[in-house]
Amino acid sequence: MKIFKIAIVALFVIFSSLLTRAQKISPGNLKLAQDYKKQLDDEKRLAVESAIQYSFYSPKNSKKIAVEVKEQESYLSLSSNSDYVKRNYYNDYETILSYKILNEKKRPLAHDKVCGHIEDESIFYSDAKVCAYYFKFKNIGQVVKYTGEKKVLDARYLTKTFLQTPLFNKKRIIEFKIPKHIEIELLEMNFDDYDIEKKEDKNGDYTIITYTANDLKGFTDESSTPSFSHFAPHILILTKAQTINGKKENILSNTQELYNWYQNLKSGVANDPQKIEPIVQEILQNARDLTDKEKIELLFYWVQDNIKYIAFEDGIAGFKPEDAHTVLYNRYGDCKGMSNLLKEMLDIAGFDARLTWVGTRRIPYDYSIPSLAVDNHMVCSIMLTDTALVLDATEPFQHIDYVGERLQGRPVLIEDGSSYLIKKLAVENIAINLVEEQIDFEIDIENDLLIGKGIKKLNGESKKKLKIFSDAVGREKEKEFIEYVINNGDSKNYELIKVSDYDRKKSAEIEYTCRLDNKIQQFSDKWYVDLDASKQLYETEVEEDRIAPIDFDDRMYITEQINLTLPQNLQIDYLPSSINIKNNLLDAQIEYQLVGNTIKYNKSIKVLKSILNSNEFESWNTAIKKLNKFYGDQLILKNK
Amino acid sequence: MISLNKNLLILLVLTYCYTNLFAQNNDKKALELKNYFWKESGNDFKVTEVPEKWMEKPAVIIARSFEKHYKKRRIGGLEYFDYEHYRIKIQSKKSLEDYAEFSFPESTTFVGYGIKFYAGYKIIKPDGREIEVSLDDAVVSEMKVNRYELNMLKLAIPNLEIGDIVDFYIAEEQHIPPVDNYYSFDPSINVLMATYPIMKQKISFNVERKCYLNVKSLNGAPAFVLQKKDDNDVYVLEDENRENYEDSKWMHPYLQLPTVKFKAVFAKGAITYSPLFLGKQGQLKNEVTEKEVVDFVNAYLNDYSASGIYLYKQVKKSLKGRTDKAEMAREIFYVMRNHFMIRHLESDIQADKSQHPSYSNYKMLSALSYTYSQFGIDHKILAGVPRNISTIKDIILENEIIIAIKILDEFIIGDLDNYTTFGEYPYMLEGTDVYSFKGKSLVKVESFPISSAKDNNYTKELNFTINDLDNDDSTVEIKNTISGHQKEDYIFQLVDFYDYKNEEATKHKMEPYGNPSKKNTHAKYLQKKEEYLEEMNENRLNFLEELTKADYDLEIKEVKDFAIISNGRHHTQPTFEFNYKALIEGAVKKAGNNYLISIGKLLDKQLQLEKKDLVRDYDIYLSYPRSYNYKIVFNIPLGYDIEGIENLNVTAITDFGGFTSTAKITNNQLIVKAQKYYTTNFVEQQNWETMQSFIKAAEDFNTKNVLLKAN
Repeated sequence: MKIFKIAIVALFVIFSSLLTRAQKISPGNLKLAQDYKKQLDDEKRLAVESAIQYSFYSPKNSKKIAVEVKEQESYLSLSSNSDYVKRNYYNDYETILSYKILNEKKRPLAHDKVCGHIEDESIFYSDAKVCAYYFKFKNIGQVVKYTGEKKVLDARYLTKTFLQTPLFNKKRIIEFKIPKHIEIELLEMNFDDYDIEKKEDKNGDYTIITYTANDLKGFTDESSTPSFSHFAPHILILTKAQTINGKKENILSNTQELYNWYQNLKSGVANDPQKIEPIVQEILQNARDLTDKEKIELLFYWVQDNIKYIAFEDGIAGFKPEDAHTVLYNRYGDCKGMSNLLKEMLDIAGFDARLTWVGTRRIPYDYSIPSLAVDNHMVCSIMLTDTALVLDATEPFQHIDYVGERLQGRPVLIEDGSSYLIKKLAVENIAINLVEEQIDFEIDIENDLLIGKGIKKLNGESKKKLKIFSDAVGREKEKEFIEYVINNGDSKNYELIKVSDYDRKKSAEIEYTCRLDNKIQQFSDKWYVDLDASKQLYETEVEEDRIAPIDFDDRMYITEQINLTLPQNLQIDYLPSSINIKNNLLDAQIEYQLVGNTIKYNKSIKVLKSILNSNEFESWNTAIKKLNKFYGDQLILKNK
Repeated sequence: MISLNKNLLILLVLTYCYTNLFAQNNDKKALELKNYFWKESGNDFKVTEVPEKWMEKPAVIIARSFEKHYKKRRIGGLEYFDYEHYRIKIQSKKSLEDYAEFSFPESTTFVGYGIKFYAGYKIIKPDGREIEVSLDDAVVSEMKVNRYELNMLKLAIPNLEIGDIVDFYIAEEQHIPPVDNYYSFDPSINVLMATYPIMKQKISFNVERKCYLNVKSLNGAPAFVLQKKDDNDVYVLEDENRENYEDSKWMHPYLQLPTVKFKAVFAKGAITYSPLFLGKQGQLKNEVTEKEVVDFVNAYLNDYSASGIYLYKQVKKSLKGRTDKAEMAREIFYVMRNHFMIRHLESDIQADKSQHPSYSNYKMLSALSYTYSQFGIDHKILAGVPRNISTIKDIILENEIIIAIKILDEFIIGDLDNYTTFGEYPYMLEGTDVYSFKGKSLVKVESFPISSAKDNNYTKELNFTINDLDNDDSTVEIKNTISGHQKEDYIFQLVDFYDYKNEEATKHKMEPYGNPSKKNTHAKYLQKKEEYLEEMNENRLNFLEELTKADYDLEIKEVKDFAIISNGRHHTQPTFEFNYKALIEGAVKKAGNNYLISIGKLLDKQLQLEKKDLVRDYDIYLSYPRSYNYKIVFNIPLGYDIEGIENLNVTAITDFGGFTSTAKITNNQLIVKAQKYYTTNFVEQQNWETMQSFIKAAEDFNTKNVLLKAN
């Protein structure tokens, strides 16, 4: 609150500095802006030209390669009274040297500047920072020029650059100036759907590689997108080696060197096993008769349950694990600290545990690319005779037999002394995410009610989320929360009977009763019954103008069996026909059956992919439209 | 060269000494405060056990203390110390998460203000061990706004487990630069309840030298008592045993929960005789008399006497000889509205300025009052307190007051903006007691009238046509008519200056803008206007689309054809009326061989009570009585009949509001008429169950279908 008060005062200061004087607009620019405005209806400003140049060099007395980054952007306002925030990112390895924001007459333009750490609720501390420069365009046709210089102190940390910027770019140029003695490899990612021209010039001691794109749309601001690396055009920058005085020094030229660097950082870790041993003994004190796997489980689950995950992404500390005993004392750690603690505990218990690097599903690359961009997470592997068991201690309530959805299918780099092992984590059968529900309904014809008793069994990601959120709301509110989740917030009609205790090996079971009004309606002598209160995926068509893929987070698998016992006096007038959708995205079967005096409604829906790509939207929408029609249909009953 | 180096050396030594001294002072102060909070804070902050009844709560606040110290320094400016101290038992994962991170601002200087922060955090383990958390491990989250640093320090708390007690404090010490005669510290209003139950709590004020303190305890909060501390007079409130509470709908916590409000000011010289709510130096003031309120309002109004003279000049000639006081009062009002808020708007638009009124209500009402007096138009001032804040008898702060004018004992005006018509006033005063006065005379307490549900009405007429039965494609034409207090939620977003500029110009002189004889200037004006209108129309349509999406549980594909029928800015035509069309999906579903039409969804999305809302502990404070009328005309497709209209006849009427609906078929149209209304702005908690019946009936109506059957 206190800082907020100060910030409010600061805002007054901000706005006071924005009282800028009007600029004269050249007729040429005005015409240009009016022409662009016709083409780009939604844009209020654009970058007529945007160029960034990366010049690699070897600083004196340093073994590292540094990079000078020069950026020039020229903005044209397409409407009066528009504004723009130019963001200039930096961190412990990338410093801002200078910047200028100029008007058409090359005079400084009044602007506000806010610099500081980028706050992200999921990360406790990161060295990622941004300077935001806020300026206004008073008139259509106004031109503003930005130039900036930065320095990357260690080229290993410069892993990629995106072609797109937040603005529409009439012309976008990315240039790499690479001296002969430095070996850089550039990998072009997601270029397929874009018209990007590449030019390579050898110019004396330098190679200059230029990428040019015209009429490039800005970054999408659509919701539920996967990370931009999955679909936005970008260039991966691999800093491989430099040759100094005729001697070649590799930086990150292959995966072994990436591994060596990680190992080098790890060598600075000084675990004190003596401080960890007592807790290992305490956890395993009654484990003498248990199998190895059961002992591993005890230790793995103890770390999950007792060490709080707090994310630190702070320069070198973003790659170097915290000492295991410190994590144990603190009772918190980031993924590296938690994995290091778990490894140390398992080592003490006599297992062959290894630190393991992995990129979560946010990252589309694998270990064939020697880059720090390949991974963003650390786990711990146990080497068993025939396989490696990968344990992610940061994933609360995770079962030992498989990793969470975010790691499935991802390659891992497992330490192996001076060498390393690469394995690919299995993509588990979708059945591990099954949410299974059974409801038995009876009709209260007098009151137009469906009265039911149900049981919902959650597994996999849904089960974990249920537990995480239950803990977050606290015991007092747990019943209210669970009643809320039984049917997407319709808590009023649901009464929780029982929820099972959390068990990693069993489904989470929610038993409930419900009284659903408005699901039966009588028209003349017929009753229209809407049996399905949950209607998963109903009206989830992708909007026509959507560009970016959709990230569902997890693959979904639900089954629902609803049994409706017919009253003595009623019989079926109309039973909707079944639906069967089967393609590479969706596998859905729903059917009504009359068995004796009971109508059985069986539903099974699998969303087979966790990311829906843009070239799959049409197929998805066709399937969803079919599903919508099915859900709209109703069971019709009549008097016998 | 030698001399320069010598000077540099001296400078460096001095800088070092100063920095070192500062650091030492800082360390000394930090140590002092640590002792103060952790050794001298009394027995409440030594407790380790919590009552049995709260063992299942996620956390229990064992003790919390807020101390505020206001002081004029002997030399220099003012000092304001604000200390917060908490001792909390962690009893769940939820509260463990809440207190696992600790952050506080870093000391800074800001526009002449020196603001220092001191903090401490310790953990008390169940076995009694106390572990002080080192703040040296805190990371700095930087933020620099232009040249001002606003950094935060963040600390992840190590070794914290369920069952531990956390004991932490943040002490803010502000040094405020010298001020002339008056400085008002931020007023505050605090509820003595929290998310977690509280065993003991204390609020204390230490007010020294030329500082004044206004404090009031409300709704069962204990009173402040005078205590001596280090020879200083300190006012202390001590409280205990408070259950936790959760905010709920239609609640005014400051009226319903134990609350304390306060404000401190520094004042000297002549200002101490001004009609501000000042008590005696260093003494607590907890009553503000009727006379004080009246004097304050009068002084404020008199401050703007020049605006009154200005307004009088504008109307002097045109009203000369007129006798109908009500007509004159209205005309003066509209002239005032034009001169103070509208006539310059085109210039503001051209200069990209805000269109919100730049004058205060006091200034405009002062101008009106003066001008009415000049013409002998009988009127009085009404001064009250918004009903969500407090009551007139509990007033202690100047900024709690809002004013209105009552003219000819019939019309009230207040809360003025570009759209206010004669007779419109702030609804937050409805039903409250207000002081009514004329200058310093005829002072009395009167009850501010409460408007009726009919006064604040929103009528929607929907013409619903299905374009394609099998593809669920429909069009709704929506006619909206809004009156009374309900207007303000819509009129600001949907009526623009250019919508009423010409109408205004027929009655009042507008500031000219854009001179056709000057080609260049005029071209710029036209260009700017065109862009403004383009952007405004786009924003308006976006607002309308979002509004429609929020109002209907249907897929809104497009909204279009927006038209204003009446802008609602004049008392002769006070309703705001507008029409538009929406293309929708989701209203038609094929069931068997027939179609179910979700006719209930064409009513606005009705209030849905959640399970936790069904049982209520507190009285219900609604904004104002109001009503909603709906007429849905469904054009039945040719070749089809409708079944199920009997389900659309609903009656749920209570003393506090109601919902009714009727349906009939005429000329192949299904016509549904519905009304929902809230008769009052206050309902006692005991009547909540009764009130729910009509809320539920309206909610149910949203799910009603009719059957469309081929004939």
